[in-house]
Amino acid sequence: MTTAYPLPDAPRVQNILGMLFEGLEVKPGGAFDQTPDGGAWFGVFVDDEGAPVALCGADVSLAAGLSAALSMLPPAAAKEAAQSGELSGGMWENLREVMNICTRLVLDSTSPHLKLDQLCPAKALPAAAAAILGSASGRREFSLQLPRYGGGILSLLSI
Amino acid sequence: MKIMIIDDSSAMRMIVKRTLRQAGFDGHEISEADDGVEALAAIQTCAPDLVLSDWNMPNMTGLQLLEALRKSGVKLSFGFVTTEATPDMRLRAFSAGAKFLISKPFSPESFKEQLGPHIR
Repeated sequence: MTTAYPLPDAPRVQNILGMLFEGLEVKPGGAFDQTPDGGAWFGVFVDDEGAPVALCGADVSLAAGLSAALSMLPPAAAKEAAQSGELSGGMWENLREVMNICTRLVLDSTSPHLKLDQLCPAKALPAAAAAILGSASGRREFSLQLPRYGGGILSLLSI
Repeated sequence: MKIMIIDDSSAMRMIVKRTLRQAGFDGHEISEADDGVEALAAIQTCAPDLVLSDWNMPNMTGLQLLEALRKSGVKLSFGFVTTEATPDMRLRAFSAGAKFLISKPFSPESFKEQLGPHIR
């Protein structure tokens, strides 16, 4: 189905996020738990009117790994965050920046403008953003693996 | 040269500093700010020659900062390091007086190419 915003293939995810995370491995597919109690974190992207138009989800283990790896925190910080489901202030800020960069995964030179509005856990997704989970015109999952920090599933959805 | 890095992510400021070194731009005086408001005040005192600014930040965006600097007559080289990469946003940046726009994520090679003309 055609989407207003492009969804990437695995090589593009590798190309964009690989610039941030050396040695990142990306494979297409994977089972993503988007339920409110599943522990995933979502970047919510909005159009110029402020309406949610795309989501980028990271499951709890990927969110922990990406946020720790961005500023090269000890891998134990990722393990602890994956187990607790909580992100410290610095890790939360890091994951927000990763989601900001994931803007590039749902944007190209011909698509309408969008930007990251907020990062939030699945259980706190605003209703308008949560609606995309059930009504997205397109979605893709990828399995990501980071050296030393583990990995998990990345999910991209767009209206 | 005095270089100011403005980004609301401390991790990204660290990555920009590291990439400057990897691109061969060593030995410069680096300062940091985490949004446009803080940067606008800091620029008055530390007078950077070059500003590398994020676009979307709380309190004051990078574009609002650039417009404020131009309005107040501050002379410096200003460019963006941002995920804003659409043709329209590029046009807005350059129309406001930006010298370059580096897309996040970036490589040392892109820093060399884009910043080479502005770092001496």
